[in-house]
Amino acid sequence: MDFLLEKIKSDPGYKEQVVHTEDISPYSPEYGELSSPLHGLLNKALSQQGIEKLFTHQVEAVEKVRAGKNVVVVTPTASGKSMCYNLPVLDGLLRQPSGSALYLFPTKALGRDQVDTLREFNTNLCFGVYDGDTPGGEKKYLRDVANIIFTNPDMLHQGILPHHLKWHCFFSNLRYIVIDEMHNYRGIFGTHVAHVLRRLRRVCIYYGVDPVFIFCSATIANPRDHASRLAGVPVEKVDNNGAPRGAMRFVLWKPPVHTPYIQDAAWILSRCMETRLRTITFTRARQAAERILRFTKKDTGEEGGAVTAYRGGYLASERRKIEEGLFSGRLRGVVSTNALELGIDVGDLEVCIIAGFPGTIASTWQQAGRVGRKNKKSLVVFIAVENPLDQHFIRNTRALFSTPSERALIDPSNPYLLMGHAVCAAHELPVSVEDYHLWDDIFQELLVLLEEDGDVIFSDGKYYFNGQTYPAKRVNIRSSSLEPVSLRDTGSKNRLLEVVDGDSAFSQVHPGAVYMHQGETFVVKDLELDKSTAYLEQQDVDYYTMCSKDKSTEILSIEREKEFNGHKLYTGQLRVRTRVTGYIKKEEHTGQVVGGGNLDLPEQVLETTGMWVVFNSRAGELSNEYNLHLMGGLHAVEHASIGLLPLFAMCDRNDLGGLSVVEHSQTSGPTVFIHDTCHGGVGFGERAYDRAQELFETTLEAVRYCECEDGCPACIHSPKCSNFNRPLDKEGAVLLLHLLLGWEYHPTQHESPKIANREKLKTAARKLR
Amino acid sequence: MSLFQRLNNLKKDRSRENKVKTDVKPVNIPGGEVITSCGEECVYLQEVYPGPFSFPGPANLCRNLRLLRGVGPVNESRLQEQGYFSIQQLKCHPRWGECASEVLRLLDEKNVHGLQKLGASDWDLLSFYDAGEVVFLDIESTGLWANQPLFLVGVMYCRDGELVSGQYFARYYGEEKAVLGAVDRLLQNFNVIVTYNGKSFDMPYITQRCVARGLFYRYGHYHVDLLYHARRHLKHLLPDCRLMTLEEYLLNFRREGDIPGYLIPQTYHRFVKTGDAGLVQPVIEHNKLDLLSMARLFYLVNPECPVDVELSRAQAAAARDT
Repeated sequence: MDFLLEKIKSDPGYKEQVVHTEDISPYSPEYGELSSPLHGLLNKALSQQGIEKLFTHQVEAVEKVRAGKNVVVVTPTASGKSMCYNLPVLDGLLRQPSGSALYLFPTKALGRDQVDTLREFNTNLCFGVYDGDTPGGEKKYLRDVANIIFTNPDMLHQGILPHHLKWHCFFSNLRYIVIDEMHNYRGIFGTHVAHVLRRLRRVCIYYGVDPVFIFCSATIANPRDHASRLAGVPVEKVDNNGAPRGAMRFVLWKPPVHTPYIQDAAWILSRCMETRLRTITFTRARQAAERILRFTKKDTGEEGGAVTAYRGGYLASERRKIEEGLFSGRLRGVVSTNALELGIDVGDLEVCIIAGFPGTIASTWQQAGRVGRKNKKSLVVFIAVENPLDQHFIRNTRALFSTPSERALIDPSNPYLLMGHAVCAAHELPVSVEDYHLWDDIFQELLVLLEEDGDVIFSDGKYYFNGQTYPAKRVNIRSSSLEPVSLRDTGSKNRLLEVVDGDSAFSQVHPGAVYMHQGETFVVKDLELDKSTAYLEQQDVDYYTMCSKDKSTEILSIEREKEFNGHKLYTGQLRVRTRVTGYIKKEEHTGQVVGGGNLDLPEQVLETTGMWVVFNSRAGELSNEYNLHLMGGLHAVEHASIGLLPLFAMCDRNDLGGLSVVEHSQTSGPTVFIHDTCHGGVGFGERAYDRAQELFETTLEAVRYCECEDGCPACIHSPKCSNFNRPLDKEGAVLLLHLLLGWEYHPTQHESPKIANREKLKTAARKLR
Repeated sequence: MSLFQRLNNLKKDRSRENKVKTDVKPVNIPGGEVITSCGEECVYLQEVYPGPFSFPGPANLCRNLRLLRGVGPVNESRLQEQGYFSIQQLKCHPRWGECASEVLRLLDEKNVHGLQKLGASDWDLLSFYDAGEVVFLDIESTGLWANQPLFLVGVMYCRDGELVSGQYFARYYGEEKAVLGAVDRLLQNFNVIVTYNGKSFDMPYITQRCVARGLFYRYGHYHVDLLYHARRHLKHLLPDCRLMTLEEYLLNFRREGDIPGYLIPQTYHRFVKTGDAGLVQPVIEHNKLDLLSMARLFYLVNPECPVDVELSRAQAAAARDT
């Protein structure tokens, strides 16, 4: 590992990018003892696998589950977490073979992977994967006889719960519900899953069983609280990790100014390929994965066959092939989105390149944990991207290693998401008063509205489903709404390339947009909205596209409000209207604008929750006094604080939107809105309201200490800004943030060149108008 | 109006939310008698129609050489050329003897399910039964998935040369158990169930509702699903294979003022809520018509029955015009 680092540092291409090296020391194992031994068969299977003693956390998990307590196990990757549920479940089922257990994994691939693990125990219990790929005959067999079912929330929601009568044997004996990779169930998806789990509990109550919940999670700030919010039951925490781990060298890498991080990532990956080290590269975006792959293939020439890309959107068969290739060692490098972050076993990897902060500290450690399993030494290279979060970690090198993880948020009272599940619940079993306690009060209110819409009928004390449709089909638990858009390749008889979320279709695949698939560039020829299809043509272009939007925000209601250093903060319901109006083309390497076009697409309306800041009159006065651009300052505050909010809530920049105005018809004064981008909201905006002080302090630090002169992607530029980051005023933002925090503002030194710049900016903005 | 606004309005108008359970008073259904089953009550309605329905005559299963595994059209004609016309004759055949004995044993045992697996048709197998063993069945439910209760099971059978319709009706959701129990008792008296789309709808629905009510009945009856036969023999002749289309083209009969199927669940829910027996009368009528049509179509969807669709269509058109 060290020689790779030496090789990189001595390469003529190296430009002092390593800013910090952290050695994470290995830790030795701690073992525990069970109060009463496991079932004999299980002990035999364990010693066959070479396991003689159990780690402390495994012992605690087994004891707690035996005592009938719901638990959440929070330990790092590769600490034998799956044992924490496999042991108590198998032990319990071997002693009572009529019992059954449900295993829930966030993806199909993970479920299939875990089945193989269970097979190694050689028990006579019947188990199998029940998902969309299971053949019909096997499905019936599993329903009737299986002790353990491996499935995913989608299948539970659409394929199992609505047919619970066919599952009566399974449900009447259900004793354990295992929910692995719990930290994935957050935000919109998490909220949907919370409702699916409540529906599951309702069915359990109907069959007279009260199963034990076993959650497993990567490190998050609120595992216990999150688990109990997900399932609506009290949960106990198990986190006394006793598993050993090999030494890890963690390198923070800062690409030279104005060099795309993608080139650096590809460069390091190429060096790894040369030294024949097995490497995984994580990127934040699908497009970035494809571009890194392209550069790496160019750089390494004939080595190209040993490295590939992996991301969601690829067909299942394509993905299976890549997973196998990695496991067998045929592939030595992979460039992946977070799709490979979860526990799919891809064998022994040695180097992990994290190209851009994955969005959460939990994910960062999850990704780093993919290498160096089994006590081996490993290397992790963290490449900072030009955005506020990444730069925050480069500036404060300790932050990444000492900051506690973020909180996972869900909002089970979001009416938009609950509405669909209320209908599903009524479809599964008529809803009566006894069921209300499973949900928030809003559940009852929604049922009243649903009856007014004719979706359910209240009769004889219960709400009955009314309709000929299959309501679970209408609720897509992976997104907040809208039909997905399929992308078709006109060059090969309209072959289906992949599908994208309906919400983001306008900005991703508008006519003229450049879209990447498997390292190939495609240009969107046509977007047929009524057919939910975009037609793409393969073209070798050297630019990418960004779209511009018209946006307005209307306040529907105010939930909470407070004084904040003389300014006002609010949370409440918002209606956001957006229209994609045009796009620009940017040159791939330099980022120069090389063209663009106008678009005529329908308006999209989003109703959501959020927070907003209304500045007092001092903001305008002082901006004038110091000759700063008020709108530019507000805009910059909005961008920078949205960029840093993920430090406090487990969300992605794309889960958040914002708008700033000098004058809003419903507020009195300059206003900055920060809102969720899903229908109904999941509470990210409210989090900003709760943590306003810390958020704006961090934001000020990020803006003030950024080395750039008047704004860059590392501080106030936003990659998805609908106005192409215009106007922005960095110094204006510093002033506004001082005001907001109630601090005294002193203009930054070396005024003159900055003012000149600002004048330029102002004239440019005027010209634009 | 947006969902947020609607919820805000609802908060202002709390009266809309006060849903109370009203006491159910058993409603009097005209023409119905109250019966008890599984410790619960439900209503039974009965009517008698001139019968009987046409039933296929005796079939000669012994002459169907294709019942032997491995015998298709080619082998069949080859065997016939060699002078083999019945399965008995093949009993000592060196190649087919073993198979033939197996089929003869099944025929002897009247093992319809075994013979069906070997490819015997419904019409051939019905020859094991007589018209008195046949019951037509049709259910009305509050949904398309068995999670919603059913409230009416109609049956029709032949007695003393007449057609008897029996309908078991639940006056509210709780009476479903009695309906299921009474139907189970009745079905014990019959060996053949005839339905329209019952293989994928009615029968699984009944069994799943039994599970939901804690009754674990199993039905091993010989089941003839007329929809399969209609699809097979009439699909290319008719615009679609709905029961009502068949009525119109084959029976020259058009329902007047019939309640459309999708309205049935909400009609029933409203009936339970209001206790207005007039609401469910059309549903009961609808169910009875379905049963009658099935009995009359029973023989017409048989492959041997020559159906003159052209003529029927002309008749139907004429009937519509008048």
